[in-house]
Amino acid sequence: MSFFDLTSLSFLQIELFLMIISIGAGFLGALLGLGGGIIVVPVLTLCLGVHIRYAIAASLISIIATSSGAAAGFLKDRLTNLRLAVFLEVGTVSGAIIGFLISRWIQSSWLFLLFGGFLMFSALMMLRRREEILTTVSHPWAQKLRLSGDTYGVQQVPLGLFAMFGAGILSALLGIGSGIFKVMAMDMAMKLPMKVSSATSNFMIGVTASASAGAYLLRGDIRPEIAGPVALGIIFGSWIGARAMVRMPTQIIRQIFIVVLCIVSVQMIWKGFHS
Amino acid sequence: MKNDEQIESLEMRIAILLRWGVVGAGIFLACGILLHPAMGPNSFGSYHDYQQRSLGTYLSENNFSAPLLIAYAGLFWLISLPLIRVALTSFLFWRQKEKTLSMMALSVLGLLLISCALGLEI
Repeated sequence: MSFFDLTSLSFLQIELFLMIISIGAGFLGALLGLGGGIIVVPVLTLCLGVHIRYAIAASLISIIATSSGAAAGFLKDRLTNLRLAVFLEVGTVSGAIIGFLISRWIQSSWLFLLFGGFLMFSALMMLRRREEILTTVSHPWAQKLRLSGDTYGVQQVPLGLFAMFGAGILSALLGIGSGIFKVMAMDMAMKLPMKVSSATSNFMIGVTASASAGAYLLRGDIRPEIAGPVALGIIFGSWIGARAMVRMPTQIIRQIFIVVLCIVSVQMIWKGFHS
Repeated sequence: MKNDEQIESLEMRIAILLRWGVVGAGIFLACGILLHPAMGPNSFGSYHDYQQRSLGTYLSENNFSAPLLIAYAGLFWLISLPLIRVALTSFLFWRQKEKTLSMMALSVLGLLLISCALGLEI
């Protein structure tokens, strides 16, 4: 069941419709600092009735597109910790492999439940006040690999790596970039400055998504009719959103979005119990 | 930290290359979709239910149509961009004599290739 019945539309009308929705998703995501997956998957499944497995696969494509397209921007500010990103990618990619293997066996209803839980978690994270506790002390692994920055140390490296492994599993299972988990791990466990955590996480997201996207593509779950307009729409929407950000009342939009996230989370969980 | 600055500068060039890569992949995707023959009105309805069919099976069911192949070429191109980034990063670190990080990036590339292979039906 879906809110919109697309069966009476022509193929091109459907593609246009998907692209418009995805432009909106990309725009909102850029305004709120969220990835496209958190918006795209619920819209495709709840509003358009697309099966969650196709929605997740399409979402991964959009994540790769936005991350690869924006990588230069992440590096330009010189906040991205490149060495740490390479190190942590070992964790996220390993996790993504496990996530893809789990996705073969997990029932679709469980995907809805997991996604609903993730949306609720994201809403709570958006409410939390961020307090930075910086340190110049580094874990021995960070010292050996020179992972620390000029003004900050990197702590609890094994814990951070394990958290990235978990983030990778979720990325492959739910079609998200898991940026929210990565930032949390780098911020709270590894004690990185918030801006460095965000920049480094954004830099890694594309690699995490590609880890499972290739497998989904060969398995036949990525359909260009869905992934194509979604990816193109999100890229365009993100581009507009990034430029509109300075003129928009982001705080009000953020508060509205938290409420919307909670409502959609309940809908996804409800669908998980009743599908 | 001149080494780090050099790495950052080269990584920036890779990132700019990726940006153009996204544009190219987007063009292929858009062409494939626009050239796709008109489907019946209920075509999107087939995505309400999940039917696991490998990429090869799906392509053969659609007679390996050129627009579909073009669209999938765009998708392959897009998915390969992070892999290319990781490969170039590994090479970059190797050139800068950062062998540990280079091997780490190479292992990430190996894991990425293994993960892609998981989608193949044996």
